[in-house]
Amino acid sequence: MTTDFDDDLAAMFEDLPTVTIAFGDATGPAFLDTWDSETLPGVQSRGVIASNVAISFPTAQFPGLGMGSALTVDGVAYTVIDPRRPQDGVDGAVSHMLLQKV
Amino acid sequence: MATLRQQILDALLETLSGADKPAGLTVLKARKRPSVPGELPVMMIVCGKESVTRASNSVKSPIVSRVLRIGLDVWVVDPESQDALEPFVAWGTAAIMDSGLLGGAARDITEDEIVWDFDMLENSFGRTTQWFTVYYVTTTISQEAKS
Repeated sequence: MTTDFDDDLAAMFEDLPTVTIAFGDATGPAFLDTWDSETLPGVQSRGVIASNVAISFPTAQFPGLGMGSALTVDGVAYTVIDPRRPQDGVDGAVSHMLLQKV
Repeated sequence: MATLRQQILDALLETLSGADKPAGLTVLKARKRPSVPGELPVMMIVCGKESVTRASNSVKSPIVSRVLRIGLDVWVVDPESQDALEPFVAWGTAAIMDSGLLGGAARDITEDEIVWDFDMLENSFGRTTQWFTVYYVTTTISQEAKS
């Protein structure tokens, strides 16, 4: 049996809302995920509520992207602070990384 | 009338809000709601444990000695969080130790420890908790009176 996983993956990034990653000379689509969390609680007080930013993208499109890499997401500069690949549970075709604003 | 503890906390707030305060720093008593990055740097004054002992062995001792731990929580958002925290920690020490025992509200003050913590989200954050011990006295029956 053969699969068209690569075609499905390409279609997924073409059909769903994405942002544009630029890393070196390469550009391509990625899913952007942002959420708020609270960090560094005080002794008797709440901490700081701030955003987290993550991207998911076809691994083959940015093979050199890793810890400390500088990239832009829709023109905004970020650094990779937590690269975790693969995240798709199959063959590493999709990577998922946490970013920090530069 | 305010308790001596309240007077000490008010004196701390006034001292740490003085003219020499580092630029941009907001100083306040502990609040329950969380902060957001745009509010940083912020310093919060918090009360820790307070212990109380008789000032003499007499069961009729009219005075008690109070030992109050006070913390200064400071948060910053900065790529170099530790460097950004340093002037605020130094300010905490200098302001309190040069305060004339908080205008006479305290009998003694010691600096005990500093705890550092850091995290990276979309931005880099740092927090220190700087602990002091404040020694003061009240009458046995009233926290509002020294004698």
